[in-house]
Amino acid sequence: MEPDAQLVQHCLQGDTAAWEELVHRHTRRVYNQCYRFTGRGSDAEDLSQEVFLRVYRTLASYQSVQGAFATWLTRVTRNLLVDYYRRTRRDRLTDSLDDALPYVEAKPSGGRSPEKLALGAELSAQVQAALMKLSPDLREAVILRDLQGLEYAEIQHVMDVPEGTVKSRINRGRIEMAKVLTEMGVGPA
Amino acid sequence: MEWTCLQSEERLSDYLEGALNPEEARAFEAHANSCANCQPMLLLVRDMLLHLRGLEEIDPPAHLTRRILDSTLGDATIGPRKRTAAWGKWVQWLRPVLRPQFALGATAAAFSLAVVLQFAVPVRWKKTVLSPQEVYHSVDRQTHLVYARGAKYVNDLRVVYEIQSRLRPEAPPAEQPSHPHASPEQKSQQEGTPGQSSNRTYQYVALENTPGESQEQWSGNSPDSLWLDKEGGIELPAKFDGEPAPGRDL
Repeated sequence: MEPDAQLVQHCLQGDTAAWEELVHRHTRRVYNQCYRFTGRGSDAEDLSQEVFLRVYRTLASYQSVQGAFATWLTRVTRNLLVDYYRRTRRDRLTDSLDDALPYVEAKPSGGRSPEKLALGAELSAQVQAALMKLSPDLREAVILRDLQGLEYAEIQHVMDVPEGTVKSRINRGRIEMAKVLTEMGVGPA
Repeated sequence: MEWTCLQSEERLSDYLEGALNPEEARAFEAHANSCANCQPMLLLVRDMLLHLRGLEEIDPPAHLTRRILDSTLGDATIGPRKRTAAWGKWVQWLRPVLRPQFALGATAAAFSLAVVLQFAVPVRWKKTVLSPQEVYHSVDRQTHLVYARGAKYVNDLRVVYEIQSRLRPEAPPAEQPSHPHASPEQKSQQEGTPGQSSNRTYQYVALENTPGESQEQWSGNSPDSLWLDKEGGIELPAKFDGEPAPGRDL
């Protein structure tokens, strides 16, 4: 499989197939980052398109010496999520569970029983709801670390804050989420 | 190793991720096992992480990838192409010309042309420039100018010398009263010779007071003065004084 940096070079030379490959590789990751932060499927879809549009326009500014393409893509996504949050701050009053997890049923079951699927969906919805109760800076830190699996150095580069701040936000976010889940009556795993 | 609740809270993630050293980990566990606040916190956060990391990735909508590709590849106006501004075309046209070899030759040619034009183009001489009368006036003007500048320079030196002579400290009046007609030897004794410590008193500068100004203001008896010593005179730097006053570091 061709590395991302090489695909980027091909894109810059006009290779559309390289760009298609990049989109296919990273759409899922970008969509999940957007969804976990916004909690809305439609917003996550629009934001994902915006991310790739911006990446396509500014692809020449990516330098492989700055880090992995995936990290750069995560940073672009994060910046757009910040813009989104500021844009929608006034409209956001309550977090609704109606728009939560509309595509869980489309995922292959993998042999799980319907009861387990329902429990999984309900628990997932509660965890997502707890995530939405965090402040944006704690939320994005927890998403990047515990859901996207980024290292501290990568998160530091994405969020453009010192590593100490990254660790502090992750720690506080986890403690806050634990409190919220307890208040929601979510039991031990 | 002592461990507090605050440390437990701050280092909780480090403990869960195995980032504490063995001593710190033991201290953390010992505290958590005996603390009514920290033990529940540890358990709750641990369970939360299990839930959180158990979240599965969500499948994006099937049409999302197509939508992204249509919005990027489908728009010919955007794309990861190199930017060529309107002036870029002109730069491209000049590119064969903008080479180091060509630039060097062009510079040399322009310089040569400028030198040739200096001599080739005839200059109109005015008749009055070379007339004896004009020459005489010009020389006279220059001479007076030089004389005036020299005289000003000498006058400035004289003023500086007068100021320096007035500021030079003199011998105390009780020991050797200074006389305007004193011999040079007496004067030199009054002034003191380098290398000898003498009880010198700093005297006021004899300045003519303007109306409304008091001597105290000039002498700087006010406590706010930074340049005057305690006796009220002007303290001179060592190079003018020749010898610092006793007990005074300059």
